[in-house]
Amino acid sequence: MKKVDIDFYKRILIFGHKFKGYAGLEINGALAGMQLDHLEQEVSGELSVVWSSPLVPSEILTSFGVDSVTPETVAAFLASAGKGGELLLGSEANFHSGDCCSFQRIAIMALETGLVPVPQAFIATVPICDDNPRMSDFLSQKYDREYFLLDVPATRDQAAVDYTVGQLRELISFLEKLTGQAFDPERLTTAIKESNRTRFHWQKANKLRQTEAPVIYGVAPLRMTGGLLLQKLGSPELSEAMAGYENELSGRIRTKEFLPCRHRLLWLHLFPLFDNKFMQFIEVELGMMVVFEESSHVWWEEIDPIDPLSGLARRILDAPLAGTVERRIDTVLKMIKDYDIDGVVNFSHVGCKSLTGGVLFLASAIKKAGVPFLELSGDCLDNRSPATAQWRSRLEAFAEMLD
Amino acid sequence: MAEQSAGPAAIGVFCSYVPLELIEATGFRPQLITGLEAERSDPRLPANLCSYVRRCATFLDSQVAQQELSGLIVTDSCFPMLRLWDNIQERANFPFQYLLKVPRLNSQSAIDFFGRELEQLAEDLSLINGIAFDKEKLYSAIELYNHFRSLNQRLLKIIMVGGRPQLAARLTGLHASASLQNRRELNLQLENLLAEIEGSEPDVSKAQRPRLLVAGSHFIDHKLMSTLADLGGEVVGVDSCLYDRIDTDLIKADKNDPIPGLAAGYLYKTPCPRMRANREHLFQIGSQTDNGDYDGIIFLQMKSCALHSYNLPVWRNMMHETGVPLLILEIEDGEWASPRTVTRLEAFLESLRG
Repeated sequence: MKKVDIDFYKRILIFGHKFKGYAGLEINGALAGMQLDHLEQEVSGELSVVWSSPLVPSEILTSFGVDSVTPETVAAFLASAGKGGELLLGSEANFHSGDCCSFQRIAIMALETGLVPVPQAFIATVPICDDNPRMSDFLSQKYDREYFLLDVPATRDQAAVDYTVGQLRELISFLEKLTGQAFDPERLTTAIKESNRTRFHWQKANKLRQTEAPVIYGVAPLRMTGGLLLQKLGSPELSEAMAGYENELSGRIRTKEFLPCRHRLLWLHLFPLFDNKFMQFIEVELGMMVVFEESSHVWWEEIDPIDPLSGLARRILDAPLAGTVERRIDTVLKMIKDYDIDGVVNFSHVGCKSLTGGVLFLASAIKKAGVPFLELSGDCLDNRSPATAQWRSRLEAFAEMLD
Repeated sequence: MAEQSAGPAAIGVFCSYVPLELIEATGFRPQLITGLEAERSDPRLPANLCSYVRRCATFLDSQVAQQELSGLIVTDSCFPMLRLWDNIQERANFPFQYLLKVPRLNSQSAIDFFGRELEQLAEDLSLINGIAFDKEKLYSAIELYNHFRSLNQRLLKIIMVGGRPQLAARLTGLHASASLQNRRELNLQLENLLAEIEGSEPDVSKAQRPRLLVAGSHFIDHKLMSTLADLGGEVVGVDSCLYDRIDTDLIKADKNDPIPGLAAGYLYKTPCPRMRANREHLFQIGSQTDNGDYDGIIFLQMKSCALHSYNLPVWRNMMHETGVPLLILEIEDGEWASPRTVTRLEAFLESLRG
């Protein structure tokens, strides 16, 4: 197995930390530093890491002293560093079908090429992605690691909650075997309190973004949300960073550091991670500010620290991207109202059959609400033959239409 | 069509994890939707969505579907299926539309959960038919389907021996027609086929044909099996999702309370790639291949089926280790015997014959 090149990550993460560019926030730097610390500890053997799906409750892992990394974050990071196309080419040579999502194919190749360490185990769940469980199963066989499938139904009734709670108990037993430690409910309580603190500041920050004029560029939260935050819920470093995020936003509002805004956009799903200038084009050149993004939405209730499993189960089952499309539609329509949205852009990542398959119904509901909708379609990680010129033309036309 | 409308009303199903016995026991006729009912995919759905689902969406929009089907049962087996459910919710208006939750595990808690799901389904189906759910009827339906399974198992054993190159195509053809008739008639046809086969000796001169396993995809059309026989091969094994995954064991159910046994039977059946147990199933195929049961394997990759896609490198590694040639054919639903497919099959069989 090739030794992981920590310097590669240092170059990118420290660069990102020191030179935040036009849109960087303190929290982006804090998260970059946290990722680098964890990677160094993992490589030196001080930290035990598993790969997990974004909806696997990381608080449970934290209570065992296990760090979770989502393969999607690994892939997103490598694509941002310009390695997407190269790794995808390698995956095709290894007989990974183009029908598999490029997030998973890049993650597979990141292990294959030694760009990241092989995790101790794989833990996957199903509500928002078919690919992650299949990839985890494949990799656990290839690297002779344990694999746990957190099975979750597509509905939210009490039977689904009870079944999922049972699954979470199985996950705890799995981690006991994996780590050789007995489950300590107090450690889980501590992790849940940290997670609730993160949620509290995250929600407050989201509320602050409902101000009349934006104070941040949407690309900053777009880069940090989704898998990256969910995989660290329960960590004190994250709740600290999130408190800082809220402070930074309220400070900017207090000092009236409002940014010019031609139109208020709601951004759905992903964005081309390999093109560092893409969001700048939309927000700075076209003046269409992403005032909120789907990936920042905090959908779950505060979790009871004393009896956390049903709250954690509800968080998985209630995810707006899970199950049938109607939940996503309801959530998006509420965001349009809350953030006073002028137009909605959905970037349909072609590898994601789950979300792209529902865009037809989502678009129809948004248009019915009288809000213009634009769908951009492509692979957000593959820098080999991007349709960026076409996307830019369509965005220009969309901005003119909103005028 | 006229004959069918005189019988029980049909409930359309799309996935092999829907217990057909339950539909039968509540007074309906299960109708497997193969995707071949429609001539093209629904252009409104994105091209990266499973072509089977896109074809089903077209079919469900048709007048034929509206006339033939009284209801639909969709499963949460994969995301394309959930999107089909969204499509139905948005656009279809069948008297009965049901989303059945199917676990991906076969643990006791999964069986219990699935059992409760089936109880609910049985109640809802009975309600719409205006009857009370009858456990005895369910037990009888399980017996009927178990008879179907045992007939299949006998036929599969004969197919595995070889020397009857068209038999796999005939069996798959009968399964394909299962949607158009009731299970009793199908069993009768299988019994007749068995009697015909058991009364004749295998053609030893034909036993020299390359022995093939056809795997992958949700459904394999009998035309493809027939083409393989015409090209000089012999299909001795099939591993596909639809039509019950025909090597399924008999369901062991309690006469007084048959649902738990039914739930367990379906969760333990030959697993599709969505199931956690699929890994063990692949090992089993690998070991059969290692034993020399197959001379070549044809893997049919349904376009845009991510669940099956992750098995491709696994199949490739297994065949690399056993030295058995593997042909991977990517197909859109409905192009089973297209000229492109036939050319690829021809070349593969030529290479097997050396």
